[in-house]
Amino acid sequence: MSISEKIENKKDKNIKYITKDTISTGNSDVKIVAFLCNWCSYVGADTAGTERLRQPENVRIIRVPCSGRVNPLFILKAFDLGANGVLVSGCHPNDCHYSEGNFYARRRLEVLKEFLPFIGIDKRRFTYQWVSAAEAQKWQNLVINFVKRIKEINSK
Amino acid sequence: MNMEDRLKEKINNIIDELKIIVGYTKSNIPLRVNPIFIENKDEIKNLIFNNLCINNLATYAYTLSQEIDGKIGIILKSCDTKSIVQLISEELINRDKIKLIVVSCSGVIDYKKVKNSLSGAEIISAKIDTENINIKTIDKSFNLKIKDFYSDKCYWCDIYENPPIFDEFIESDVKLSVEKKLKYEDINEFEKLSLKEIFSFWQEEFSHCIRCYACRNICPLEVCKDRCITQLEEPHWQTQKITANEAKFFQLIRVFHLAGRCVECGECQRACPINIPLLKLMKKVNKEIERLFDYKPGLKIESKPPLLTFKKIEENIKEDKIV
Amino acid sequence: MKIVSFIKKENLKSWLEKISKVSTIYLPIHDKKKDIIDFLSWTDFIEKKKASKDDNDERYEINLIEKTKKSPKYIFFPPTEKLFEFEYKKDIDDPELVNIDLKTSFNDVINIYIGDNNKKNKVDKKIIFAIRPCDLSALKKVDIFFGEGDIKDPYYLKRRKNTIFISLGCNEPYLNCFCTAVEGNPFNFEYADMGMIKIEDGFAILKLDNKVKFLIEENKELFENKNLENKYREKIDIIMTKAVEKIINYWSGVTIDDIHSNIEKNFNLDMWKTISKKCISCAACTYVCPSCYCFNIRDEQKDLKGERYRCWDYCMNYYYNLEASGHNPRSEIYKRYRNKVNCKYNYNYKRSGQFFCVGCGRCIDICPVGMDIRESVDKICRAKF
Repeated sequence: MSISEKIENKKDKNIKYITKDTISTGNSDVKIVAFLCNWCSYVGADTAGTERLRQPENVRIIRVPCSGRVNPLFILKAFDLGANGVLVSGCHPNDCHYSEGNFYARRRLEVLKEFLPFIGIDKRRFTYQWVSAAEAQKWQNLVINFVKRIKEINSK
Repeated sequence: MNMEDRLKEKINNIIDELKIIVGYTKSNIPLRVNPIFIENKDEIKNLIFNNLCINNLATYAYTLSQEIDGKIGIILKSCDTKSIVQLISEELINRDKIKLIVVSCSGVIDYKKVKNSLSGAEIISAKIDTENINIKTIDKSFNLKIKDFYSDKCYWCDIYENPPIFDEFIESDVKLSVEKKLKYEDINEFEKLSLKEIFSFWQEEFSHCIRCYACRNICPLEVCKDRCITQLEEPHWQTQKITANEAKFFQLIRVFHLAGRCVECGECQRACPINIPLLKLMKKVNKEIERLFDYKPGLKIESKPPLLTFKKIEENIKEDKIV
Repeated sequence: MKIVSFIKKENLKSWLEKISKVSTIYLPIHDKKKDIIDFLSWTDFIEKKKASKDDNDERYEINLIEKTKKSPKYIFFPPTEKLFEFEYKKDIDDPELVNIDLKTSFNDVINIYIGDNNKKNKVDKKIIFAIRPCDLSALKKVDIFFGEGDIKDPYYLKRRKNTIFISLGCNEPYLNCFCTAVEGNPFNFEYADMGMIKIEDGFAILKLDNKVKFLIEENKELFENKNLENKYREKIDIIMTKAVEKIINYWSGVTIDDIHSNIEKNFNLDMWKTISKKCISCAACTYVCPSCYCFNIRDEQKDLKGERYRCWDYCMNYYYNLEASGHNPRSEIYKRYRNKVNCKYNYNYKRSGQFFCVGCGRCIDICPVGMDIRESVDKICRAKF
């Protein structure tokens, strides 16, 4: 296959919105949105890139100043617009760059996680983790495992 | 003297120190009551109080306290005082500015349940006494027992005799006698359904929504209704199209705006013209917050809202092990 | 009115089924589980019945007795309508030029289907069955707004043409109906193509326009034509008189002709503030009203593509009169409520000679706090200025 044909095939014609079909159909193209905090997780992900650690390319990263900036409605809007999975990552608790942001985030995102099955979205499609700037390996494992988990849910 | 007369007498005694009093009065529509705003003594005779008073008059607390220069009096049932407690603890109204006249109610009737049980026939007139409702339709007459048509929120009420806050308390003639149910029993039942069924349930319910915003405007805690983000262009959270997805997203905005603040008065569900079960969403979030942070909204003025505080070690949060 | 024909209740459903094969038919369907009655097309009704057959066969049925929750105006004036799409494209020859490509959505306006799911055929004719006289006269008033004057609305007019109205009179007006107080009548078939009244075990047809004669003539076997005046005339007269008597005349102390001038004179009364104190300024009354017509036009764009659409707007909205400078002349609730009453009973009366309120009573049924427009108009008219 020539390069242009490969690009044609990868176009978004396979993407169906999660609000309609993707809960039950298998889908080879998986889209994941990640909210990473600027001081720890974003640097960690960047380091993973510099060190050439192989990871699936399904993750699109949005940089926020702190995980406490993440409004639960961001995640719901991402699901509404067609994301298959959403990931939030910040500094470890007690090590937040702004001292307390991630404590508030932990509370809010836990409530959101328990609420998701009540509107028909699988709880496992959303996760929040703590990845620090030195943990590039952890970021790589996180992405690999999360994409695997989403593909497994999609294939059922 | 029965409860209604005692209430009128109490109002008569305190009306001079208040600028305006909000209470209940008769309505032209059977099985309904209307709010009334009293400013002088000769209007007191229009006040009523009975088992039909399901409206939550705390809706007017915020707007009146902004408009009126002086003290306001509100007649409330015990469950509605929770809204006032929540408003005071969030510093939206001043405790000195309102006088609360709390009546210990013996349950309220949900008129939608009554209408459903008659399979939609038009109700011409309805008379109510302590135990029965006498209803006349075009060609038939029914005698129903009040205790079969209580609103859902009465089944788990335990504060009708000791409200968390009051200035004057009027005791009821009849005690609330209803079979107690677990507060989150219907939520637990609903969660047993499969994800696909839950999803299609909500899609179907919201397909009828006309985005009239009655749910938002009648809520006592939604003081931001004139500046709501769902109607703004900057930031652009939502389109103005009237579709099922947009209606569902609007409800999710409301749910997270009221997480940990909703006192489950049920007004949003009552005001909805399409009978969407909105209270389910609010109760689910409240259930999670109660389990995770051991917090019930509306009971103590001094308590801090759970999502505005934190603990360094959270006992009830179990991390997601994925790495 | 002469009795033209008669159809028995048992034959009604087969008649509707036969008509549904040549044109789309909308009729009031009752969803028993949610307790809502609304106009649905015949194909949607059959589909929903099939889909719900597992849990409850009796969930959807035709209901010709009760008032629908929303009026049928949404069939012609939908809550959301796309007007056109646009796309920004860079000029191939001159990179500094950006062109806009416009694509109209006018041809998508007619998208009604008949037949089952496998072979849906687009068809041009619509029939609205069992529309009440009040809803029909409200539709005529909305026609004045969209269809007369120098600028006409092509989207509305395209949906509106080729429509047949089969009107059903109201034998039992509801408590909150007041059509006679605003120059209406529960058996007013002036604007209908066919007028029906329910009597005993069937429906008597009291008006038949020439262009809809084919509906009866092609299905002659379902209708009776003999001896109708003797059998039914007396009973029909009794029903009609009783129905009109049942509607309470709400206006006390003011005649219909004086309403608009009284409301105008009393514009600055403080009474408006006390009347509208309990209103919570939601949109429930506007969206169920059969003659409200306000809409909002928005452009929404993502990257280089976008669309312009229009959606229903409500005058009780805080943002309804917000001006670009930031000034809001109707920032208080009583001013917006005063505008609403004036729009229905005063401004449109002066412009077109008819009240825009038709007395259907839906706003009174649906209001969560019990605002009553009859009471408001009555109080204002009687007050001394």
